[in-house]
Amino acid sequence: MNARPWRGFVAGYWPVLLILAGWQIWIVAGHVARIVAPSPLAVGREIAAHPALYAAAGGATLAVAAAGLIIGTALGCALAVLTWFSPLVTGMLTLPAVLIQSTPLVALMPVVARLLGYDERTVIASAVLITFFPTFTLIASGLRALPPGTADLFDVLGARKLAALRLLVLPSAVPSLLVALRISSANCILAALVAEYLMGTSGLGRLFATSESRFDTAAAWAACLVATTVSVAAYAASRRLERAARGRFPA
Amino acid sequence: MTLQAGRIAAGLAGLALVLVAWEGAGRFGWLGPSWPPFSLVAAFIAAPEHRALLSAAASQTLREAALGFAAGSVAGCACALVGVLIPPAAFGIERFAAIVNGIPVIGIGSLCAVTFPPAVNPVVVASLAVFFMLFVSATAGLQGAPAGGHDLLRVLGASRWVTFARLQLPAALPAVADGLRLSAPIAVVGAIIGEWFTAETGLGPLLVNAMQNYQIDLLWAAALTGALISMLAYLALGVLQRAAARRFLGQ
Amino acid sequence: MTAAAGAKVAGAAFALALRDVSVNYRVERGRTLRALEGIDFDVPEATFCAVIGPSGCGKSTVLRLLGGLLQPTAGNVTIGGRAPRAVAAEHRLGVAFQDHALLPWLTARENVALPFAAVGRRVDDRRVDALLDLVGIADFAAARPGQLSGGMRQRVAIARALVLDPGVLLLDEPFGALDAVTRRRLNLEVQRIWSERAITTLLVTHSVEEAVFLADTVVVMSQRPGRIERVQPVTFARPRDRSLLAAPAFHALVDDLTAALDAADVLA
Ligand SMILES: Nc1ncnc2c1ncn2[C@@H]1O[C@H](COP(=O)(O)OP(=O)(O)O)[C@@H](O)[C@H]1O
Ligand SMILES: [Mg+2]
Repeated sequence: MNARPWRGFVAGYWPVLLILAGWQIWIVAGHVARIVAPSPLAVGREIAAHPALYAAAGGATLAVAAAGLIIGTALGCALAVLTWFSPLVTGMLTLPAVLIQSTPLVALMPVVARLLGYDERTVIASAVLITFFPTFTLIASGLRALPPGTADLFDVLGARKLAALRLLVLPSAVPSLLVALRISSANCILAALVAEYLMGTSGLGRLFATSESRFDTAAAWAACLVATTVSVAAYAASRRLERAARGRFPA
Repeated sequence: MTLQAGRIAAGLAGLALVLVAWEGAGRFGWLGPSWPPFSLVAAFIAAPEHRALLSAAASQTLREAALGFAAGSVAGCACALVGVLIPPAAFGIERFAAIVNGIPVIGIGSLCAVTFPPAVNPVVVASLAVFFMLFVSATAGLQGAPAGGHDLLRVLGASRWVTFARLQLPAALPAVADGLRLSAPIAVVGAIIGEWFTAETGLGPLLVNAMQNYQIDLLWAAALTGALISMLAYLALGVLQRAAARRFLGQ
Repeated sequence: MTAAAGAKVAGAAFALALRDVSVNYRVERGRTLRALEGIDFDVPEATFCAVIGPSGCGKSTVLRLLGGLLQPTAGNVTIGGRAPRAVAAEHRLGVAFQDHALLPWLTARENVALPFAAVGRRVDDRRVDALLDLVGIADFAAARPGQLSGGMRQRVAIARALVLDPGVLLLDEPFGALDAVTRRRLNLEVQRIWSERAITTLLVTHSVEEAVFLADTVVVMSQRPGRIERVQPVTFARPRDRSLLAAPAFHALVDDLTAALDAADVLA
């Protein structure tokens, strides 16, 4: 085991190496100009030169994305529970929810920004919107996947609907919630990044926008690389949460 | 039969409610001048000269989204399969998928633009967005097969392949169908963003132009057209998803 | 005398009655499947009725009717003259299903205590502990269903069925996954509980011995569509103990009912 520590490293990080290698080959073989895309090494040097800058921007983006994730998840759960109460509500909410999800939000960013203000609120709103829909859809179907026989049990006991919701239906939806978190935790970072970029408010998105306007591609890509790293870390964290909960809440 | 009719009626009622709210908000200017009433947007789309423009753009975008949807779902399912059939690779593949998903489109957009022909770029971006959704849902589905089934097949001495084909694949189909449905709007939005960087036709350039020239009517009309196609795709895939749930989950 | 009469009036609250009941299940594309036909029998207050029959004959369907989970296509099902749902709304039905229906995220103890929470009452810890003891899983109180054997899960389900002190107990093959020794012990326990609390009980089982040992009446059902083949009173004195299992009269009755069961199966 310890004799070959690099083996464990390769097993865990070959995707990273693969992607970095692919990146380098793409640039060399495609004769990509430095102004279009920098090499991995140049990006690494850029981050190493300004660690505090990128850490601060990454932290800012992470914070707004997390706020959006929390609000979006809460909203998705709340509406999914409404659909559990009434099939009528299910029908009524589904199409509008799809409509919102289907709207190319990036295109309407100027409109949203005008409504909410050119600041973090709009960034949070775009993270909320990207989180809301998968959460709503997955939880709504999770609320209907109950362990066999248990719905009948609550019926025979004469349990109130609210008691069944609290004791049976919500815990049954925990695996769905975990999958939704897994999808959203990574995506809300990217949604926040795009919103920051379009409005130039703060965080990694703004860093990207200002670097791009200076034609400093190394810095622009460095901002993206930090965003990717934060997104992968968020995914890994949600995956760990899911594994921890799986024993208790088998799907 | 009547249940189906009730669901459709409720869906239409919900949609009507949203449209009425939209109309009111636009008509009375509750949400500012960049929020036109629905009737205005609808009239704009319906006008013959706009209709031709929008339907040409929409069919272009739809074609790209469909190609990206197909490529992304095949790639996502394939990665999930490899992870399940070759357990030692599972961790790395998952990390690979998370990284690919975490790469910001705004970062690599210009790189893609110089690498791929303009027509391919939107397909690539759409497929990247779909890829992750399918990977996550297929993995969750493949791992969610009942434990008793695994035990049974192990006792029977079944090969890994038989276990997969007879147990894991059928168990995964409902989750895959869920993922496909969730991906439909994502593919359309992905294609639009992909068009952003290179394309001259399609809904993406239309949106960019409308935004830059502050043509609010056109902006909304293009966004609504995009939303409508993804909603139709979502509804069509919903039929598939319900069939899968009925057949394999006994719902 | 008056006390007995009073008990009788109160007691009528939990007598089970099925009057000429038929059930059609709707299967695909408007086709229906007749699961029960002309089922008509009574379970008087505080008596024990066992239902036996070939598998698929509709035993679980009878139980679902009495639990208010299913409305008959024709005929009437009542508990103490009222609709089963009304009795369920008063939390007086106890039920253990064939597939145990435990919540996988709760421990055995939490599963037994669940009905209190489900109907909005305070958990009676002493009662929960006593029932865990009674079904012999006190040592596994903290285990989750995934860590228990099939038989243990069924015992948890039985304890849960009893925890609210029901007036009617509905048991669907609750001992199916148990070994013979545990099964005999639990049979004795069920008889004891039943005679102490006078719960009107309907037990679905595929063991003729178990039916004869426990019941006041054994109902034999025929192959689908389920009809009543025979209603057999069992008059052995109570309390019954292991010695009954060796009695010739017991064996004669078991053989007789087994023959009736075989005939019912062949006829289909
Ligand atoms: N929900 C249902 N839909 C359609 N058919 C059913 C349903 N439940 C039971 N059946 C059918 O009704 C018959 C009786 O079932 P059941 O009462 O479970 O039998 P038993 O408990 O005696 O084995 C069986 O043929 C079964 O296939
Ligand atoms: Mg049964």
